[in-house]
Amino acid sequence: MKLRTLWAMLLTLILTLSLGLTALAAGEAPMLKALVEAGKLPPVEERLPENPMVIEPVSEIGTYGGTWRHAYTGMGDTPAFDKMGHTGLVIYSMDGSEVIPGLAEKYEVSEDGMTYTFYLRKGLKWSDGVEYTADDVEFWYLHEVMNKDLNPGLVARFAVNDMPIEFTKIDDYTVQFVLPGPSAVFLENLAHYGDHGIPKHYLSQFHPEFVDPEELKARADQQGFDNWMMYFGDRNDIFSNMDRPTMRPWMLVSKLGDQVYTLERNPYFWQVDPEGNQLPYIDKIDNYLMSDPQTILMSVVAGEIDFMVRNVSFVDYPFLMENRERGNYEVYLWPMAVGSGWAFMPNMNHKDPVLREIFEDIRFRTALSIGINRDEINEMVYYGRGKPRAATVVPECPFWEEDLEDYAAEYDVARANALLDEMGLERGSDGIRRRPDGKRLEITLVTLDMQNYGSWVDIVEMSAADWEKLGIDIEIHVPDRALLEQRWAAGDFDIGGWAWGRGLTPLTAPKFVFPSDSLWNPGPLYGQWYESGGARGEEPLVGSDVRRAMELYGDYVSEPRPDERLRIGKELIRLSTESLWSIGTIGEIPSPIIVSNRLRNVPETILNEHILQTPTNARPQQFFFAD
Amino acid sequence: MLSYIIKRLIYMVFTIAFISVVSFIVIQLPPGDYLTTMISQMEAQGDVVSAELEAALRVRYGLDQPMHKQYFTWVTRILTRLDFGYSFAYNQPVRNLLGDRLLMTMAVSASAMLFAWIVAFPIGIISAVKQYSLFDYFSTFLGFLGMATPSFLLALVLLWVCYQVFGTNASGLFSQEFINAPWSMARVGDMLSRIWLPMIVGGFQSAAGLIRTLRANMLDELRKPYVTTAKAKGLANAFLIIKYPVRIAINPFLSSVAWMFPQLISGMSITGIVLNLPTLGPLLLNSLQNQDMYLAGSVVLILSVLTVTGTLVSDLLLAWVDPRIRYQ
Amino acid sequence: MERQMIEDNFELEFEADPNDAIYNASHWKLMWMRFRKHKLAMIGVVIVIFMYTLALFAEFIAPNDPNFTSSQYSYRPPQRIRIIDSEKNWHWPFVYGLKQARDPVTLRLNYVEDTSVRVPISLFVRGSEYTAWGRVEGNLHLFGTKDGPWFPLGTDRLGRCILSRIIYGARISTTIGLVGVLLSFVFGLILGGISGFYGGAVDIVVQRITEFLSSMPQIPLWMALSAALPANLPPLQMYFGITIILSLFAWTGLARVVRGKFLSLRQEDFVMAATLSGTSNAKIIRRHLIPTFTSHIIAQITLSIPAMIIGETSLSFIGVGLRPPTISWGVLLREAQNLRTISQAPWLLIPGLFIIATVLAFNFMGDGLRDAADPYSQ
Repeated sequence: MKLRTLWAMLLTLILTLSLGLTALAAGEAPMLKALVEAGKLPPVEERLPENPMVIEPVSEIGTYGGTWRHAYTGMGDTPAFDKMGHTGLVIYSMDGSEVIPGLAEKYEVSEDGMTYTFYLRKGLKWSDGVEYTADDVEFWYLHEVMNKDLNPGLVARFAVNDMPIEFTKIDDYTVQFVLPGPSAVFLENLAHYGDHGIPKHYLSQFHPEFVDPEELKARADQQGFDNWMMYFGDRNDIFSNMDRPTMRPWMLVSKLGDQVYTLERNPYFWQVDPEGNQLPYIDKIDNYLMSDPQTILMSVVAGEIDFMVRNVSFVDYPFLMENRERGNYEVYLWPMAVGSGWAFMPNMNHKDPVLREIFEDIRFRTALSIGINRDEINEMVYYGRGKPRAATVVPECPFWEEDLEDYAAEYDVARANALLDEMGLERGSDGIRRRPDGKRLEITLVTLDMQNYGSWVDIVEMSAADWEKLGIDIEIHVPDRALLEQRWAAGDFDIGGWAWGRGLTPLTAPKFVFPSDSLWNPGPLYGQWYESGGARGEEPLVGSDVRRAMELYGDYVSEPRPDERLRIGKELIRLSTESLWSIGTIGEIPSPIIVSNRLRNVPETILNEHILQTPTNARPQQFFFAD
Repeated sequence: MLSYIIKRLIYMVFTIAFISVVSFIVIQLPPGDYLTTMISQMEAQGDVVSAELEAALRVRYGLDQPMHKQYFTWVTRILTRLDFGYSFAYNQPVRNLLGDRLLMTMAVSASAMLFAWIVAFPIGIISAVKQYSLFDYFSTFLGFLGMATPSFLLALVLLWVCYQVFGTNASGLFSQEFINAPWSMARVGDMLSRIWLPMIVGGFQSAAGLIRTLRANMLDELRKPYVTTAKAKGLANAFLIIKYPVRIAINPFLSSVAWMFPQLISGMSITGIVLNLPTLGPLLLNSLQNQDMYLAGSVVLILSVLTVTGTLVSDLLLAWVDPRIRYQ
Repeated sequence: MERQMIEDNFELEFEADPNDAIYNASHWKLMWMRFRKHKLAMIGVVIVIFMYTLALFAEFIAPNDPNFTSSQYSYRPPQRIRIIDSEKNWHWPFVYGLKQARDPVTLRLNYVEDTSVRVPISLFVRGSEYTAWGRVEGNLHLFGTKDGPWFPLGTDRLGRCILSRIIYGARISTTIGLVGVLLSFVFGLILGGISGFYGGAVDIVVQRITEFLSSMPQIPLWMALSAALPANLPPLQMYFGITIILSLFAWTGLARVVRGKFLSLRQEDFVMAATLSGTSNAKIIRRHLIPTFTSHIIAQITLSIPAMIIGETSLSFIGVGLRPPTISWGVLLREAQNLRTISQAPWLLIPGLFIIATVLAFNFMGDGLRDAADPYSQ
C-alpha cells in the first residue's frame, strides 16, 4: 500500500518534471525539426534570441502546421502581406493603447523627451541566420533614410522643426535617437511604420558607399535599372525579392504576380508563445491572385479562404452570413477606428467669395450637419450597425470625451431651416434659397466610387436628398480619383469629403483634425501653407480657429509632460469637432473579417486600423489550425 | 499571288507600327499614372502612402520621363531583344507574364470557338433549309439570345448556379491545388473540368454571328438554279444540301475563323475578369485600369498583331478556297 | 438588246395590270410586304416601338420617382398583383402591403406580406411630381397606387423603384444606339461613299484607315478612351462622349457596306438596263440606286444598334462608362453585377432582360429588313 503510494508519487514527479522540461525546451515546427535533423538548420535554441519576445495567445497554446489561404488583388494590394506580420523596434499593443517593445527588449525616453534609447534583444537573427545588430539599424538610418539620393528631402517623421533627428550607435545592442526638440509623435511613428533596420550584410553590396559606384552602376545597368537607387529599391523590396532577408514571421518564397504568391515561416523568427514554442504556428500563406472582388467573394463562400481582413465589403455581410455554413467560416465584425465613414468637407478655401463666406459661417455647417438623417443612412448603408455621430475621435482614443460624438449629430430639419433663415438665405419662388448676391444656392458635392467604408456614393446621394429639403440645389459629381486629387489640392471644389480616419491616433498625422496638408481635408490651401511652413498656399488669419488649431498642435507636439499633452490634445480635438470643419455621418463602422472554422486564436473583436497595421495587431503569428 | 502577299505583308508592318504608337498614346490618355492608381487602391483599403514614398517610386519607375522617350525605349527593347518592358503592377518583366497566358488564351478561345461552331453549324443550315419554320425561329432566337446577353452577366449567373448546385467555386481554370502545379495529366483533367464555363459563355456569344452568316450564305446558294435543277432531277434533299450548297456556303465560314479569333480574345476579356481566368483579357483590362502602361501596350500590340495576321490569313484562305475572288 | 426587251416587258406588264398589288407597289411597299412575312422581325418591331414609347413618356409611364430613396423600402421584392384576397374575395387588382424585418443574425432585410393592408392599383393616378421634356410639369401617372407604395419590380438597396429606373434608363440606353449609329452612319456614308465613288488612291487611304481601326482590339480601346474622358463631365456631355467612342468602330462596317454597294450597284443588271434604255444618270440614282441602297443601309444600321447597347453596358460594367446618378440600363446592371444581388435580390437583374429584349428585337428587325431589302430576289 505504502509502496504503491510512493510509486505513484514518484511517477507523478517524474511526469511533471519531464513535462516541465519539455516546456522549457523551445518547441518548433515539424517542418523545421526535419531540417535540423538533416543538418540544414541549427537547432531552435540557437535560432532564437536570448530573450525572445513572448506573445500571449488569444485563447490557447496552438499546434504547428497548415496553410493559410488568402486572396490578393495585385500589386496595389501589397499592404495585405505587409500587414500580416509588421514589426519594428517598438510595436503597438493589440488594442493600440500603448507602444510596447518589439525588436528592442526595452526603450527609455529622457526626461526632456528628446533622447530615445533602444536596447536590442541579443541574438536576433535575420531570416538567413545572420545576426541582427545595431549595425543594421545604423545602416538603415544613416544610409537609407538619410541618404540624399534615396530621399532627397528630409523624411518628415525623422525631423523635428525641419531639423534631422540624430542617430548614435552606442554598442552592438544599443541605439539612440536624439531629437532637436521634443516630439509627441516620434515614438508613435516608429511603432506604426516599423521595419527599422535593414540587412546590412545583404544590401550593402547594392549601396555606393560600400562598393565601387562605377561597378554598381554597371550592375544596375545590366539589370535594366536606370540608376543605383532603383536597383537598391528593387533589392530592398521584401515583396518581390526572395533573397532579401526579413525579421517578419513569414518570408517570401515566390514571385509577386504569380497566380499564387507564397510566404513561408521564417525559421529564425524571434517570438515564442508562453511555453517557449517558436512562432508562427502556421507554416505557409498562399495568396491567390483574384482581380475581381466578386471572384474573391465566390472563393470565400466556397470555403477557399481561411482568414481575410481586406477586400470584402460590409455591404456583403448578409450574403457572407447566409453562406457561412456551406463555406465553413465565420464572419467577425471588427470596428474600424474611423470617426466617420464619410465626412463632408465644405471647402474653406473656395474661390467664390460668396460661397466661401457661407461655408465659413458655423450656422451653415451646423444646419448641414443637423439636416442629415443619419439613422436612415445607418440603416441603409450599414444595416443599422454603424454609429450616427460627429466627425471626431473614437472612444478608444485618449482624447475622447463623451459629449463630442453627439455634437450637432441630431436630425432637426426645423432648426436647420431656422439657422439658414437666420443667415439671410431666403427661399426663392422655386423653393431654392438665394445667396446674398441673389444667385440660387447651388452646391456640387464630389465623392469617389469607394466601398471600403460603406458606399460613399450612397451616403452622399442620401444626404443630398436631405439637403435639398433645406432649399439647397445639390448636384453630385463622382470623378476619377486622380482628377479629384488635382482639383482638391488646388482648392477647386464646393463640398467634398473623405473618411474621417485616424480616430484612434488623430494627432500622429493630424490632417483630419485641422488642415495640415493639401489633400482630403476641408482647407487644402491652409494645409499647403502649414505644410510648406508658409511658403505656399494661403495663410489662415491670425486669431481664426484654423490658426488656433495649428498653434495648439505645435504646443501639443513639443510638450514633454504627458498630462499637459493630454490636456492640449483634448482641447484641440474639441475645437476641431465643434468647428464642424468636417461634418460626420456614420462612424465606428464594422468591417467583416472572414475566419475559417478551422482557425483558432483569432480575437472576436479588435480595432481594425491602418495605424495598428491590422491584422498585425491581432497577432497572426499565434493563429493556428485546429485540425 | 506572291506579290499580293508581299504587298499585304508590307501594309501589315505599317499598320502594326501605327497601332503601337496610337495605343501607347491612348493608354496614357487617362489622368494620372500607375502610381496614382496604386495609391488609390491602397487608400480604398484604408492604407496610407506617404508623399516621400510616392516621389521615390515615381523616379524608380521612370514615370517622370516624357512620353515619347518612354515609347522609344519600349519599342527599341522589343525590337532588339524581345523585351516588352516591365510591369509595375506585377513587378516583373512583361515577357514573363505573357507566355503562359497566351497559351491559356488560345486554349480558352479555341474551345469557345469550337462550341460556337457546334452550335452554329446545324442551326445555320437547318434554319436556312427550313426558312420561316418553327425550328428556324426557335433556333435563331436561341442563337441570338447568346449575342444579346451581356457575357459578364451570363458568366456571373452561371458561376452562382454552379455554386448553388455543386457547392463549388467554378471560377478560374484550375482548382486551388493545381494553380501552381507543374503540367500533368491530373492538371489537364482539372482544367478540362473547368474550361466548359468560359467555353459556353464565349461560344454562346459568337454563335449568333456564325449562324447569321451561314444561314444567309445557304439561302443564297439554295436559290441558285443548280439546286433547283438538281431537285428537279430528283436528288435526295439531304444529300443534295450536304453535297453542294453547304460546301460553298461554308467558305466564308471557314475564313471567319481567322478574324473571329482575336475578336473573341478581346470580347472575352470582360468575361475573363468575372471568371478569374489566367488569360490575356483580364491582364489587359487590369493593366489598363492600373495604367500599367508597358503591360497594356504589349498586350494591345500582341492582340493587334493577331488581328492583322488573322485578317491576312482569312483573306488568303478565302482566295485559295474560292477561286472566283481576285487579288487586288 | 435583250435587256431592253426585258425592260420593255416589265413596263408592259406594269401597264397591263394596274390593279395587281405586286407590280403596283413602290419599292418600300414591296419591302414592307416581304418584311411582314418575317414573324420574328415583326415581334422585334413591336418591342422596339414599346421601348421607345417607354423612353419618350418615361415620366408619365413610370409609377414612381426613380431617385426617391427610403430605408423603409430597401431591397423590396416585386409585389404580386392580386385579384383574390386571403379570404377568397374578388377585388379590383391590388397588392398587399409589406412588413419589413431585419434578420438579427445575418442583417438581411426580409419582407412579409401584410394581408391586412390592401393597396388597390389604379390607372391615371396623381403621384410624384415631374417635369417632362424639361417643360411640361405634372404628377399624372399611367398607373400606380394611392394608398401605399407599390414597386412592381421591387426596389434596390436604396429603396428606389426598379421599374421606374428601367423606364427612365430606357431614355439613355435606347437612344445611345440611335445617336451612335447616326454618327457612324454619317462617317460611314461619307468615307465609304468617297471610297467607292472615286476609287484609286482615295479608296486605298480610306481602306487602310478602316483596316487599321478594325485591327485594334475594340474593348480595350473603348476602355482606354472612355477612361480618358474627364469623369467630371456633366451627364449629357459624358453621354455624347461615350456615344462618339462607341461609334468610332461602328462606322467602319458601314463604310465597307456603302463602298461595296457603290461598286457593285454600278454593275447590276437593272442599272445597266436602265442605262441602255436611255434613262438619265440622275434618274437611275434616284429611282433605282437610292431605294435598294437605302434599304440595305437601314438593315445594316439596325444591326449595329444592338452592338452599341451592349457596348454601353460593357463600359458601365467595367466602370468607365456612364456613372450614377445618371440612369442607364448599363448603370443599373452594374449595380446588380454582384453575387449579393444574384442570390438575395435577383429582381435587380431585370434591367438585363430589357437589354436582352431590345437587342434581340433590333437584331430580328435588322434581319427582317435585310431579307426584305432585296424585294425582287424572289
